[in-house]
Amino acid sequence: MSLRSPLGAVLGRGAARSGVHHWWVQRTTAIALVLLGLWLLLSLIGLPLGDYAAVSDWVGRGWNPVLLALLAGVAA
Amino acid sequence: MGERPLSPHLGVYRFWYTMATSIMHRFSGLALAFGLIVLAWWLTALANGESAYLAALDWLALWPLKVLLFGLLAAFLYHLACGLRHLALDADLGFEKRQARRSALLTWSVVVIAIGVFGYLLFCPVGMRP
Repeated sequence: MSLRSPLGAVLGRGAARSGVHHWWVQRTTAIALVLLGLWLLLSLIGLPLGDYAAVSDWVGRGWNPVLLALLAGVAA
Repeated sequence: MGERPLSPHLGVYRFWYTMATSIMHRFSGLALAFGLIVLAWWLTALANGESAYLAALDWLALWPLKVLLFGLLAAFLYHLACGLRHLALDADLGFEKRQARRSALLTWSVVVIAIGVFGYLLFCPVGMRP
């Protein structure tokens, strides 16, 4: 006896296949990038960009490395 | 398959600000894709230690690169504002012709102001700000 439900057997078999997936990924990454991009912009304004030690410390502090990594991952 | 006919698109519409709004979203997106490389380069310089970072800053101090950075800021702000407009349209808000035209104007106005504000904050040396 098959473990798949009738719905499971037909999802994704229509003409559009996984078409909507691209659209949805675009939208979720868009929202993520709005937030992450604004965060980066506002952070950069507050940073003394000429000061290596300050910038280097900032990258390592608190949530910053996580957000930076997310930004790089989502943008790419 | 071969040559299938395409319905007329680019040549038949009067070039107007609504069309410009849409095209600029695509161009700014392209610019930002390039900007991502610039960001990666800057982060790599940061990771490579002080001398590498300061060398990178020396490059960025040259006026062509400053112009480039300003362009990237403008592209970012434009893409952000227009992108929010697109997300609203996706949610079926502001789809009527009048609303769409008004939101396009709003987008441009917001972007111009934002470029002024953020350009000032980022490019005017801290000591010179009031």
